[in-house]
Amino acid sequence: MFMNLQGPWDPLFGRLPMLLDLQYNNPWIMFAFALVVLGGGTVVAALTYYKLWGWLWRDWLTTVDHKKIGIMYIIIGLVMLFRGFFEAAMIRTHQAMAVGPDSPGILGAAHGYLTPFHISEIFTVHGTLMILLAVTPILVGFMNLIVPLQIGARDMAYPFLNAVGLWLTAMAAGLCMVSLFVGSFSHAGWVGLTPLTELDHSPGVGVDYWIWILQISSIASTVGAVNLIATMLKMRAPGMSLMRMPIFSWTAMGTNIIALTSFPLLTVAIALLTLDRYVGTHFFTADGGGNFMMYTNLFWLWGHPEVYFVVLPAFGFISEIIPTFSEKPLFNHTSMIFATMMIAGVSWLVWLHHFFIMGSGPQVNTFFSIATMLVGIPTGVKVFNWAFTMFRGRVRLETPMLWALGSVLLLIGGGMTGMMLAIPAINYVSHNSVFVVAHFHNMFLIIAFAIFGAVTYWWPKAFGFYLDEKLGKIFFWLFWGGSVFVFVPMYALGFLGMTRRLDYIAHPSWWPLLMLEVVGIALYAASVAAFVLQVYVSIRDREKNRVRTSDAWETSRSLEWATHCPPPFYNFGATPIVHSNDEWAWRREHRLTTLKPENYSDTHMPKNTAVPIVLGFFVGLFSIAAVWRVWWVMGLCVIGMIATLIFRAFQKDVDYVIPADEMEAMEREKLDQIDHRAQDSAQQTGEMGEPEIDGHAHG
Amino acid sequence: MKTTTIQRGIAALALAMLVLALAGCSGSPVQDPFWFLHPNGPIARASIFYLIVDVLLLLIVIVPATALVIWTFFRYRKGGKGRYDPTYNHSVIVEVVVWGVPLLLVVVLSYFSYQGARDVAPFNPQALKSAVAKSGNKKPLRIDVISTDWQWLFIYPDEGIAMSNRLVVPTGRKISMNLTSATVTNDFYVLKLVNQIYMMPGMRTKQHFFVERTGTYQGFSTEFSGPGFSWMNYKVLAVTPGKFEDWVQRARQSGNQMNWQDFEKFAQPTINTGDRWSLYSQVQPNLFSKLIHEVKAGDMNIVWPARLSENMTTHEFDRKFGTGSANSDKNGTTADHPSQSNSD
Repeated sequence: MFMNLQGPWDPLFGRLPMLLDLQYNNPWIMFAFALVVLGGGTVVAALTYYKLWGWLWRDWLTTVDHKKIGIMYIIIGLVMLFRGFFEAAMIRTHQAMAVGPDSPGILGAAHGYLTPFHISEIFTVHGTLMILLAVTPILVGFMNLIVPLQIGARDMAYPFLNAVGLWLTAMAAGLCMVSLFVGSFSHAGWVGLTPLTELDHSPGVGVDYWIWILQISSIASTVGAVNLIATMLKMRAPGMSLMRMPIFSWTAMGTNIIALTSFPLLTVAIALLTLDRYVGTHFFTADGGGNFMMYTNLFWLWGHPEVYFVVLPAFGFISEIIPTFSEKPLFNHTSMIFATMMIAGVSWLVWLHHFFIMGSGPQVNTFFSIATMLVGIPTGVKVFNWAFTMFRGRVRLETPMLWALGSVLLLIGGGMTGMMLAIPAINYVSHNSVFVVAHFHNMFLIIAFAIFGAVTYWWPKAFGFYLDEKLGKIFFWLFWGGSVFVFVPMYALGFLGMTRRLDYIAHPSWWPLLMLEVVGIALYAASVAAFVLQVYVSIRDREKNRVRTSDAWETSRSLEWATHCPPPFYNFGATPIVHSNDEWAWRREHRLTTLKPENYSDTHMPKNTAVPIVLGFFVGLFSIAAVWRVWWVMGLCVIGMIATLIFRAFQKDVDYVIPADEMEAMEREKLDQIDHRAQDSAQQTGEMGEPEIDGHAHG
Repeated sequence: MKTTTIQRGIAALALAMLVLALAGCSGSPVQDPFWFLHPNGPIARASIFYLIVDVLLLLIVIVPATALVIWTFFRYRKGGKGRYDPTYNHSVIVEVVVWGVPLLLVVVLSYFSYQGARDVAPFNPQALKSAVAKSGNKKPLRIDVISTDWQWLFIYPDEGIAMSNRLVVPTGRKISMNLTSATVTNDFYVLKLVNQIYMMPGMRTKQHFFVERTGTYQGFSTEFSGPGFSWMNYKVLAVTPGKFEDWVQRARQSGNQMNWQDFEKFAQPTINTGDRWSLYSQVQPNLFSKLIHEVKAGDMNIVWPARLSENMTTHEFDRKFGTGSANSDKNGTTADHPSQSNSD
């Protein structure tokens, strides 16, 4: 309907009859399908066997608790990261195979084992999901998990909206999984190169999947940003002025201001492209008065701020980890906050550096070049301040610190190549080469390293036991080795002139470097195994690795360590009062580490609700129907969404109050546990001396 | 822990040497063209000059930063030699230095950035001026470049000839190109010779270059343009002006024509593999501008069949099965210029 579509369309099933023509004999798809069925099936079977469906529904799927939502975000992100790694491995092994005219081809491919369309799909889905469905959810998850704890809040400002954001993201991830088996995915790069994404050049459903994944996750990020900003502005604990807000929360602030202002641009750009593909407008076509370079501008007007959207929280992780393990406050705290906000501010002024070679004059290019280089200043400041944080400190090399330091060293390399690409004269010879690919993977590795640092750092806070230290270190070194082996040769290949997004490599002389990258991929694969093993071993031995006090690392500095591990659903027994930049360090210095407040008061809490997941269901179904152009299902879903929202609007029973005495009883139970655990471990080790046990005073 | 750090250092060093060794001995079949640090024209050389300046200036910050991170880490390990002083958490001097030095550096780099952008500006590159003045040959050679799905057409409007999938240019003369695309965006790039510029449907971009030495160079597209993108390689032959004139004379005798109807056939999706090229002696004079108008008017109606963009196991992509037929029968019929092995 509306458009002259290739292939069948009927009113009842839309474009679904196209599936009858598709060939499902591709072993890769079958392998992926088997993996998903096996993984998903195991989870479903386990839930059924242990009769956990009720628990899952009550405690997780309908929750509005920011910590659980945060954890679910991170799980979605990690699963997607795993899938993204598979795609990376396929790209690397395929390219190493398809070198030179005499290279063999199998499974229907002329060279290597992936046909041109298939590998295009793979690099497109790799980019899309790594950025929007892996890194973004993990970071949003951490912001959800940590920010309210760091600012001493009960929950987010809008717990309901928070759950809506989660379920929209989950639907986008689900849509991405569906596209793996039902139909195809976009082949036009994660940036959606127009006019390649127009119906003339992408007649199938692939681009539509890509469109709806971007659209849904973009809306999710926008609502998430509203929520986090409101939380940080309105729900800080008494005494916490803005400048006393911990540095991670500040980076979250910068990030969400970026998200709030840039994601709507993506929404608009994608909506216009949707109109082009669905009703035949000419916004981004070459003909009919369209201007596809407008799309490129709009996309990068979002796309570059998005880069800082993902890197700022990573800087926040590093800024939390380094002081803790240097046993010193963050150096030049105020300066770090300004550096963060400056990066956020400049992020809107740099987008054109993604297409210096479009033909703009030297003046325009120089403006964006200088703006881009300005980003280097606050970034450099951050690196120096981290180094000065270690200066005159007592540096402990526990796993989170290892990740943070790796991240800082990567940042120096990535910053250097970034400053090279910022110069138009250099960009004219390196644009779209794998040098650029190596550069932005270098930057994303900073984020990955910081994320794994943060996972190790806050795991004991979130779950009450440590991750295995030894396996964590093995994981780190394997991951580091993988990064070096994949991306150092990739930088070199960029200098040799290799272009990105290649299906077939015409120059056999590149083969040795491509093989080195495969070695790196093997190391990455081993590191994935080490991580899975680390999590498994840590969960198995959780009783041995229990956190004894609220302060898992004993030298932590910010407010999230002033409550139990794991934090109870109400976060803090009583609203904490803040005295310093590093509140927990201040309390430790003043021997005020007791978790028992002077008195408890009634606490107002949000109630669980099934509305967000129902809304998410309608959105997910809507987007699948939209991809296959089944208009009547789309219509029903819209009605469903509106009805759900009206239902929510009339729901009055959305919150409850924990009475003070009940709170006191729950708190006492937890504090007693801490005391017992402290005594146990004191007996076991026998030489605890005078442990800094929270709650010791009243025990 | 110390041993692992040292091991890591050794490993990194060994790897770096290995990479350099591999890069050094990468003898590509086409005269080792893929090392862009060896430019063969003023524009590419300007780019490399700014690359080196930029890196050297950046080292002013990069080296101390790296050294500081590593030194503080070793010096202030717990139980190490460093004095522990947790009150040292602010310093105005440090702040002034860490903000000031990068700021000054960016100011200096901005100057070079602007100079560089002017030197290699595709529409009017300053870097060519002295080379053109020295050569004494003021009249540039005009070439219209068209990318299709997934072939190249180089039109020499003043000579009235055209060549597909291979570019022949004279040395010692400024070359001015107009570029456009018949369907989707491509990106024109000849390594070591011509900097990148987008080729966009319905639009005209420009690029200029100047070849100093004869030789064979490698051209390709760097903007993903669909399933045939990886095979959009072509050779650029730089020959002496005398040889170029000879080549033009012989090209005029090839007898193939390229008018609008021929071009529409030529522009059908064709995955051009190997080193196949054709010469055209009669070219419709306004082909380039007509193409831009047709694309803008929506009359350049090239729709990719779903099988080219959707099907997973199709053999359409096999190098034996190009879908186009416009030039496959004429391949190599006029191989009367410096010939190359077909090895890539």
